[in-house]
Amino acid sequence: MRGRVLQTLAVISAATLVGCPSDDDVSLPVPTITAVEVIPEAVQLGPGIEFFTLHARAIDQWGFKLPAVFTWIPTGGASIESQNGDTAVFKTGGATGDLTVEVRVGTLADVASIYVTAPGVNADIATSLSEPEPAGAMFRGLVSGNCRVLNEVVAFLGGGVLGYLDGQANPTCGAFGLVAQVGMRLHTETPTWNGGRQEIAGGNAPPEVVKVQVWTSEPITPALKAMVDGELDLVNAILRTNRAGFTVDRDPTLHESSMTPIPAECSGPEYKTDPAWMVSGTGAFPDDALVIFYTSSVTGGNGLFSRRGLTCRPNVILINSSDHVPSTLVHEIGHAMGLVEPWGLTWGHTNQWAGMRASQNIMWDAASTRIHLTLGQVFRMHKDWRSWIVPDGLGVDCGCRPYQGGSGGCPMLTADFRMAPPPLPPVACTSVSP
Amino acid sequence: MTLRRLSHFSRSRAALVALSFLTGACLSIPERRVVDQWLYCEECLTTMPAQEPSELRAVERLHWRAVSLLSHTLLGPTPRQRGALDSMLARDYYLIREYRAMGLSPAGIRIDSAQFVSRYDEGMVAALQKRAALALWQIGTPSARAAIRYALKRDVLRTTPLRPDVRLLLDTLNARRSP
Ligand SMILES: [Zn+2]
Repeated sequence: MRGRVLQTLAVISAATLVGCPSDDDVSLPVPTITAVEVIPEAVQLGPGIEFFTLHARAIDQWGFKLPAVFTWIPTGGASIESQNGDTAVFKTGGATGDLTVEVRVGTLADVASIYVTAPGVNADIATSLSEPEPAGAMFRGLVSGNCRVLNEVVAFLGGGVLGYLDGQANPTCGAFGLVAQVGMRLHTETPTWNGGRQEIAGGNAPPEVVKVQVWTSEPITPALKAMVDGELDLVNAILRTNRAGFTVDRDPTLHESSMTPIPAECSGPEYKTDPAWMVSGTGAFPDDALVIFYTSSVTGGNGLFSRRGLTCRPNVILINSSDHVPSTLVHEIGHAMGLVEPWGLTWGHTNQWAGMRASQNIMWDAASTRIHLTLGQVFRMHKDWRSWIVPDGLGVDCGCRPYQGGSGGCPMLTADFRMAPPPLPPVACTSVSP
Repeated sequence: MTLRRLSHFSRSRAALVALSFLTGACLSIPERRVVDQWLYCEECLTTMPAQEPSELRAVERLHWRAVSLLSHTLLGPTPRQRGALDSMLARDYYLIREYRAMGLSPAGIRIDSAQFVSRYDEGMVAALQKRAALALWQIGTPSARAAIRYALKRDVLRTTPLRPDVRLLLDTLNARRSP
């Protein structure tokens, strides 16, 4: 017995004495703004278009977005029309040719190039909208006449177009049709550009508010309520920063579950009607709300380790109340919103992505500072059939490959602002079943 | 501490273990990331429905080389791990605070940073310890198993009390043969 203790101590002290200096680099958590970015970095305005919208982002040393007060400096006769948070609307002043707009935070700056097309010249699709509220919407398809199909178009209603404009409107088309989906609402109108202001008439909508039901296996205390409040606020802060086009209901009722124990695993596709999953007095979980369950354990495959969270598709989220991190909930919401491919390989996680600030993405499968969503991810959340907020039958198939868009013609999952998607070969994968 | 006093322990094996620490127990940065993937994974299901997460299998493949880092982790976060946890929580706290400062939350602005950190910290540290213990048990070398016993010993001596669920797992692993 004594020998065994000594043996133990010998091993531990050897490990302690030798140690590994490389494990001692402590980074202190002080986020500071290290760069400013303007989005889009280039805007081409069609003839006669007077207004355009720009966004700014302040980035910290880890590449995260930080709130900041921005100063805008237009040149070439342009002037600022209005400013709201990170968004500003400008007026060209009637000049054609090149203009610039500089954005500043302290001594940091970035510049957008604006090119105003002279009358009579074919123009790219206008690239700006003007509502300050960062709502989101996906636009794709061109349904009228012989106009060219717009494929990778991710537009954000309000707050300006931030995303992809990969197609061009045929100038002979006049008005062009768009299918716009904002959260669960599908806008099928044929919007028109609104005067010279580059708004889509009739298309503006605030972010969809997703209904939420919160259940807990623990007594509801003020501390528990504060924790849930904080995590829901973090979800909405991250969705807002990424202009995801939806937010979660910030005032859900907290239900105390009488079910003990709450199932620690998704029990197959029948979980919604499985008696073990039903909460006494409520019947099965609703289809029209995200169900978030804070439960005392979410077990792993061999029963010896626990998970921080798990999403039982399509809309039930398990959070391990004794071990999770603030961003576990937003990560699981990503899964519920269809970020699950390649199914069986990486499950929607960004851990195998090349570069792309993968560890800052909400779909990084580890406790880290997760805040980012790519445009490709936001697009899928709204358009792919795998996403719970996409109504049955209305989704497209974005496929299961991160670097391809599937038959739905979606942008690559890795497509993002100012970042060229890595030129990687397609990977074989099998898709989740409907 | 001298090897001569280890009556129940083969001297040559002790020397080997000590030598292993001296000659390369420190993991390279990519290897350390392999350990991190396991210690921090959220769902750890890259091989579902297989019984054992591939993150854990990858650590097993590092074998004795991972024992030093895992042993330290089992006794509580290393300075690097402590820094990473603090950094993550501070960042999330900051985001929530800024979001509330914009008047966007019905919860109001008040959020206490110390309470916020303590709410998550205990669970995160316990999870690191449990993941470290499981990996040590899977690796199963004498030094790996000794590290589990040592953590239990420190708990008994109350020098570093373990959370009950960590203690329970360590007891279970200590009583079971490594696979
Ligand atoms: Zn996940």
